[in-house]
Amino acid sequence: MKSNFSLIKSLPVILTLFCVVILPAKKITAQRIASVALSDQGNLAEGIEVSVDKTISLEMFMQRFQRVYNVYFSYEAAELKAVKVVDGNIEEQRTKDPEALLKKVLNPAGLTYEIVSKVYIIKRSAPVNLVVQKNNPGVAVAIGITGTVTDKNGPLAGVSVSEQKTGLSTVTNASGKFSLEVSTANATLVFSMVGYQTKEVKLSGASTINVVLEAVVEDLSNVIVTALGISRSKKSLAYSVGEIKAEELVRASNVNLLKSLDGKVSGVNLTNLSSDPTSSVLVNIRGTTAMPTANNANVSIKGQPLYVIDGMPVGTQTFTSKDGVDFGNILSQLNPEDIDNITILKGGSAGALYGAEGGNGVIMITTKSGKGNKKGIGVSFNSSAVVDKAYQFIESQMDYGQGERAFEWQYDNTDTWGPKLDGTYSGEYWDVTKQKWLTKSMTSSRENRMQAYLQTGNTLTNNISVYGNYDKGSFRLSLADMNNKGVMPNTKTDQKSINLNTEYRLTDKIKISISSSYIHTFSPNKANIVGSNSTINNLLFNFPANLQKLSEMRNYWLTGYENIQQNGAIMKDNGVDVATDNPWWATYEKIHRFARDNFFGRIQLDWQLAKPLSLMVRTGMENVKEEYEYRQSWGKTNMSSKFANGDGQFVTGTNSSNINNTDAILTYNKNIRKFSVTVAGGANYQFSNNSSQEMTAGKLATPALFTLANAMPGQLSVSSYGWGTSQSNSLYASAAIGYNNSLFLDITGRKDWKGILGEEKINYFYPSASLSWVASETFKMPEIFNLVKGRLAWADVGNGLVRRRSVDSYTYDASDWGAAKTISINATLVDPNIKAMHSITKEAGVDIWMLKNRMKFDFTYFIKDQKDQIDNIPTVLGTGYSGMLTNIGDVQSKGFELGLAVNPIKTKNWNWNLGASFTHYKATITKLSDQFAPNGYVFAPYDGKTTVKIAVGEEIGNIYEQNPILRVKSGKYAGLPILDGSSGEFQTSGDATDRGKLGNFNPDFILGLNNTIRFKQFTLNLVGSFRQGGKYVSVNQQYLESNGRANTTLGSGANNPWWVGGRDAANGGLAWPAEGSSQWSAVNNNNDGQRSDWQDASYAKGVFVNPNFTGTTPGDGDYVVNGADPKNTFYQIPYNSYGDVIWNFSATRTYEATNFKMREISLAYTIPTKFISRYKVNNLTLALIGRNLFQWNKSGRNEDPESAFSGVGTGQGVLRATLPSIRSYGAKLSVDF
Amino acid sequence: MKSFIIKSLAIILLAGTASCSKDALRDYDKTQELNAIESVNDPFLLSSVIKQTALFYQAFGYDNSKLPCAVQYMGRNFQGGDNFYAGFKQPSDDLYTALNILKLIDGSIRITQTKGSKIHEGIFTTFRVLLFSYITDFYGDIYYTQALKGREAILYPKYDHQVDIYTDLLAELDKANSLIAAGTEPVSSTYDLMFAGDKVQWQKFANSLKLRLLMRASAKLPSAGTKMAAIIANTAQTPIFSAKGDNAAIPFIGTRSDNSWKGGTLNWTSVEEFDKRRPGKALVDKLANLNDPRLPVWIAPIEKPWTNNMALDGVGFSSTDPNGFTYTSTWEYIDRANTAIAAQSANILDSNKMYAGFVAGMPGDWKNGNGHYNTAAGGVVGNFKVSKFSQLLRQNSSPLLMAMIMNSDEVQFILAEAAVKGLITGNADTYYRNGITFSLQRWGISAGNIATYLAQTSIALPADNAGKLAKIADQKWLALFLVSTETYLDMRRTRLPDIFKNGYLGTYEFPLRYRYPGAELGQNKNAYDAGVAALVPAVDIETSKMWLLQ
Repeated sequence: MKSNFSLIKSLPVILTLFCVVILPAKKITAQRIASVALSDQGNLAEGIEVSVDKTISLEMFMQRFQRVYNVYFSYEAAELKAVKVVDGNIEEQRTKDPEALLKKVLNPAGLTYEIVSKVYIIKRSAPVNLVVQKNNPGVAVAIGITGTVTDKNGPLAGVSVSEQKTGLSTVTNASGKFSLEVSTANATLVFSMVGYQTKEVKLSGASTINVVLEAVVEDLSNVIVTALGISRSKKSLAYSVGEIKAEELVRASNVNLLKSLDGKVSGVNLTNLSSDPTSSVLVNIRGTTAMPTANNANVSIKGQPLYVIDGMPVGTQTFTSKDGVDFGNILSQLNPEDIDNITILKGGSAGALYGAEGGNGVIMITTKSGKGNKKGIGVSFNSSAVVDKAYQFIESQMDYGQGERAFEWQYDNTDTWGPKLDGTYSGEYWDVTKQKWLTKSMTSSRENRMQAYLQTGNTLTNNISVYGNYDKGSFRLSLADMNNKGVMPNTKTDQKSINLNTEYRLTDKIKISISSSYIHTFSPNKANIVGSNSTINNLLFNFPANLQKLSEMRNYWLTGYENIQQNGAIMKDNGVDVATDNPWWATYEKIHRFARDNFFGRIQLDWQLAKPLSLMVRTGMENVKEEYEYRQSWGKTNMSSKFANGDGQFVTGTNSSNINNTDAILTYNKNIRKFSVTVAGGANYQFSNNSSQEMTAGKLATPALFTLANAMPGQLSVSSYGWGTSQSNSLYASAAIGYNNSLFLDITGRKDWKGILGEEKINYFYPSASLSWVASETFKMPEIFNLVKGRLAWADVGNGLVRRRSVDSYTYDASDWGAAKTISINATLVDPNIKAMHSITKEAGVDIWMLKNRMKFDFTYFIKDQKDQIDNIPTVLGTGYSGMLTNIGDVQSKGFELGLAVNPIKTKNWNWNLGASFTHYKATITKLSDQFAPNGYVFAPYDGKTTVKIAVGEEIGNIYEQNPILRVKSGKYAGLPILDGSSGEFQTSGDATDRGKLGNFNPDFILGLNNTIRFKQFTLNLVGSFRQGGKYVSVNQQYLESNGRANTTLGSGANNPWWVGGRDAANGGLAWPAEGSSQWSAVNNNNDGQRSDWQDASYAKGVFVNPNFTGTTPGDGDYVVNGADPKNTFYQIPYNSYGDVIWNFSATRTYEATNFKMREISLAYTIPTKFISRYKVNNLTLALIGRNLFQWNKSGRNEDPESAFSGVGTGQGVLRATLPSIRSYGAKLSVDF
Repeated sequence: MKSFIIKSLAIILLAGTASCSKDALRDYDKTQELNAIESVNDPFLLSSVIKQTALFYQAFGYDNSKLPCAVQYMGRNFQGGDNFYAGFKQPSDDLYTALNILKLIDGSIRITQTKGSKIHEGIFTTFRVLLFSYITDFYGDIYYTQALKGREAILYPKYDHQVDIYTDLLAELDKANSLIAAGTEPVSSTYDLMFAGDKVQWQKFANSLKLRLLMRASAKLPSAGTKMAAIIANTAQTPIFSAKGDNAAIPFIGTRSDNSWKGGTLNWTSVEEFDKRRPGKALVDKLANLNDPRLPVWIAPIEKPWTNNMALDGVGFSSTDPNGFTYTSTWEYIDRANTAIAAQSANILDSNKMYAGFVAGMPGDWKNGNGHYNTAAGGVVGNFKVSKFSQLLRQNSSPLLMAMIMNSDEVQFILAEAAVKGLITGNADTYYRNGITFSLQRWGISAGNIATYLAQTSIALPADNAGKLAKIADQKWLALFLVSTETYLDMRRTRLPDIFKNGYLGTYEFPLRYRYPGAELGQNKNAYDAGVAALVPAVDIETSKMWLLQ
């Protein structure tokens, strides 16, 4: 395979040879010859001939060159800095063309340069030296030397081998071998290659020599891709950007690209929708600045960043969810092996060039290309197998069974306040295996239902890529296949992707590049794993311990009624109707099927028009098509109505979206004395188009036929239909001015025009300015400092534009009234004075690189003001509208982020890299429209008996209790609950200001730790993240308590401060007082209705108003402490006093969210080259990988606070039933040919 | 040259792929959608307004149990707050549903005015009066002149006084009557769901509605009698509902949940919701005492009726109601030796009867009505000792089940009351008997049975006016069964029938109004405060009196 390409491979070399030999040969100057001669004489020459150009190190030369011409540059390999070049006397020649000068100096030293986005990258020009060798007249004696050059992976082709003194050189062949004739037996050979550290070896008479080169990556990282794909020197940037390289994305073989970002970038908060490895991720950069509203208090989805793939904006991505199932999005689909790097533009200045869409930050994803690889063709193959296993299961008591009181068995009640399962009580139950009612003494299954239900999932990924890199162009083709078997039984996801990136130089001034990807995802079934509609919910809350083991429930059809009626876990007493679903029925007969086809790509033309001017034109698109089906078989509806009304359900829907972008950018680049100026201007046209359709057969006529035609009469409906188009035109410009290579000023501006209809058209201007000062260039700093930089940035960026008119429109009702069509009115009211929403961001920071760049530190402080958020203010319907779209207020986010990268140990065998990121921010409401909150505050409904307060000064993420307990306001009982005067239960205070704050779901800070240790062939990588602070409300606990599942419900203890008693005498239950023993009839009435011989009297702690009190305001003497006198105590059975009462009060189930997660551990072993080189394998690496291997929760609960969502992406901070934590471990194999 | 061609081609190609046709932008569709209000046809508006208003009203007559429980047509044997007016103690948002329909009506009226469709304008105006009268009758002062004007920048609409609203509503009905009379455009028989395009019926509706409003305000409007008399004096100009078919009501289609009777299987797939509503004891007893033929039409026999006859214990019998629905029942002996029965014996109010109603004002979650003791077997809603409603009310549609706004019998009872009170001249007894007849006819009772019924002495009007009014009120109360809001508003106004202290209701005060919606306090506070100030006492509670009752 490889040899077939050798001709093609050598073609560019031949061409280059031709050019160099024929054209410049005549132009070899006397100066050049002098220089060669000089170096022949070594150091002697320096003192003798001053008038002839003396040599200096390239590093010194380039520093001067940079000061004069104000350009950015970088070395392809660090050792190039030491290469001696002639001193070109730059200061005298400053008026000349810098490139001519550069060539003049570099070429004689066997170097050349390449301009990548305005950055000069200095590199070896090996083939040229070959020519020099052939034409070098100075060689008198020839000594033949042969040898092999390898790296840790195997033989290296294309390595330049040269004799230091003479410059005689050659390159290694495909098997890493070379032969060279040198001038002396004591010659020093220099081995160099792009991406490797240059090595000098003294021959000392040897005629055969084997050399191992070590790879370098560090120096190229000085260049970073910024907005619109403009590459910039990191040194000059005045704002903070996060950057993640390919290797970090794939190290732990995470199939979800965004999940592998976690713990690696500062200023970014990632939230998983669930612990499922394929679940979606929400990204918030520098804090969510979206304000909750009464219509939508959930801010976790708002404020998602703009995603840009290969320069093409693809919009803000959330995820597709149907019926509570998370199907992910394009980002969770991207093949991580195809990603070259991810750049996160955090602040407004970084993203200002994206105008109206850049307000929440920008995540730029660049796919891999063939360029940058070694010349020729190469093949990489990766394969990984990972096992997913759930751990940290929620516990519940398994000692008590179904019922309301511990002396009474109730087979139809899924609450477990019933009798003790020690075999003393016998009762009727539905035997799922035998399918009939049996009586037995009740015992506990002792089965953790979740643990019994979940299976071990696995993920297999295979990826093969082929690249080619030649002088005229390059390509990379990648094929990937991923199969995931979920931890939920009967769930699966298959994914295949193809990615092709090519680049071709039409002429030396024109380059065309094309990148294209197609990804296909298919899930035959993906289960609902979040929220109250899931099987998980059923297992957690509706499966009393006395029921049979899940393995005995597998026959989920009722015999004789296969495909018609399920054999439920709990049946109604007629034995044919189901009260609680059999989880296996839900597993195999409630199917969520999903497929997504995704194509995205772009074509780009780069044209160097004239010396300082270049043009880039590109156009690209992203096209997504999604198909969704929900198939629910018969089995649930009561038998009596099943045949008349049907059963089951079928939903089918499609979404498609298309977004096209075209940009043209003209760049002017010129150095004027100490100034470097880069001005770019461009235009963008964007068009997007989407449509969706969903049809529902609400009930099916034939049991398991999933077609729309099978709908029962009148049960077919079009649930949603819609299309949307948008277009925008933009002009943008940027100017970057550098002074003396130490001061850099960037100014950008973008104007967006949006809207299609004349009345909707709107435009807005987004400016930004930033300044950075490299102090280490201005002042002479102590040697340990390599870079000291301060920066300031300001920007005004957008969060979308709207201009809509108020509309009273009609829609036709989905169903007709007999023969007559009917319509409904849909009215929306829009503030005619509405303003565009935008963010003003400010940031300041420092970067310090020291100890030869082995320690890099950065700090950024930022303030982000989101102005004029657009949302609906509620209006009374007397206006004719339920709300008005207007500007409701401002939110400010403030915080800082720290990054630290240290390389404490770097020896031949050891290399230790340590990275840490620290993120802290708080977002606060700073302004509210009077129309939105006339009283200064508004409460928005939230989940789990909580509410969200909207008021100036409120932090985003604050959660309040919905139902404050009514308490005594003053006097000696101040603070105690006032109990209801007829039942002694807690009461809810109607005063909204009594609502207590439960906490904020955002962390105080996030600390990410990243550790890579290499020892010889072994590499150990550790990634962990620690989140301090934040609270969440557990609805799990709410259900567990009210259902009698939680251990805390057995009897009163430290966990239930407001309740005294228990379900039986052993658990603290109290004896019921004698009938009529209280002095008040209210107490007698209450207690006598519940009293029994069983000792389960319990009471709520608090006071009640003396029943004889007749005044309006009770004083201290009018309150009676409940429980103080057993005869005058309002008692309740635990089911009521604990189960029902605690239900309403969320304060008791708010927990700390502080946690640490060991996100990634990988141990890689790279097989030494000597074992594999004979098989023409360059690299063979075997790695053991682990993800989320352990987790520590401060609360001690077996819940993942990061998955605290009440549904798919809704109600952040409120945790409903969700998967337990999942750990993944496996192995990965990488082979490069 | 060659490279220049390549360059140019490349740029043209790139630019070409980027361009977008005007059709792809869908600007025509967008404009159409924004301007949809201008393109709707009269018939579609007509069917929509009729449907939405009729369904809105019918909801208050049965499935929303707040009013039917308050007037003791029914009681709930589960979640029984409505049994003792609990729903009146919270802010009520019902106003907003009406406003949503009014928004449709206001838009429709604007279109008819542009098009000159006078009949349609008159019809829509009638519905507009109906809904605004509903709003003010239940709340008191409320927005009227400033309502639905968000687009004119009225975000905080002021309330109008009830007296002013009433004055204007009456004038609007006159206008509606003349508009319909003057209009000449065709009215679609398919899309006129109520009167199949007969415009005189619409005039009748407008004028009958005016009678209803005049009677309601008769204590406050000195001219009410004169105005009522003027209507019946000139029925050629101002026709009213005067025959058995003259009903503002639409039948259900019965094919989907949204076009079916709420009690039917399409809406309440589980029978539990149906079984939670039980006929009130006042209703069952009144019907039984009057030998009323409507009793078996509306009410089902008890499943396990009590008997004092030990021999009957466990004996079953079946029965068939006039609509052909059959029921099986089993007698159960009141066995006081059984401790469970003995414990309940004080609660056994009806025994040896086929029908028994639910006692008024029963507390919530009370499963033991009429001594029902076997709560475990009965489940949450399964009381065997109290009648359910008949299977007729479990149908998705039936000729007898209508979404009713106003029937001809109600008009006759209004006239009967007016005649007794001297507001109009005329024979109260004739109106009264017409009212009874129309009502019985509406429920499919045969002419013979009607005659038998009317011949009873218990039907005849006594000599004294108070007695007459009580009898008329009794019959109107029966006739308005399942008809929405009218019974409640009548009982509030006349305190008849006097059933306010029935059952456990002794300590509960009959509510006089709805509390304003919570949003009014939050988002329209100044107007709300002014509205509350007009109440006596000036507190936003259900027992404060609005102008009509002051």
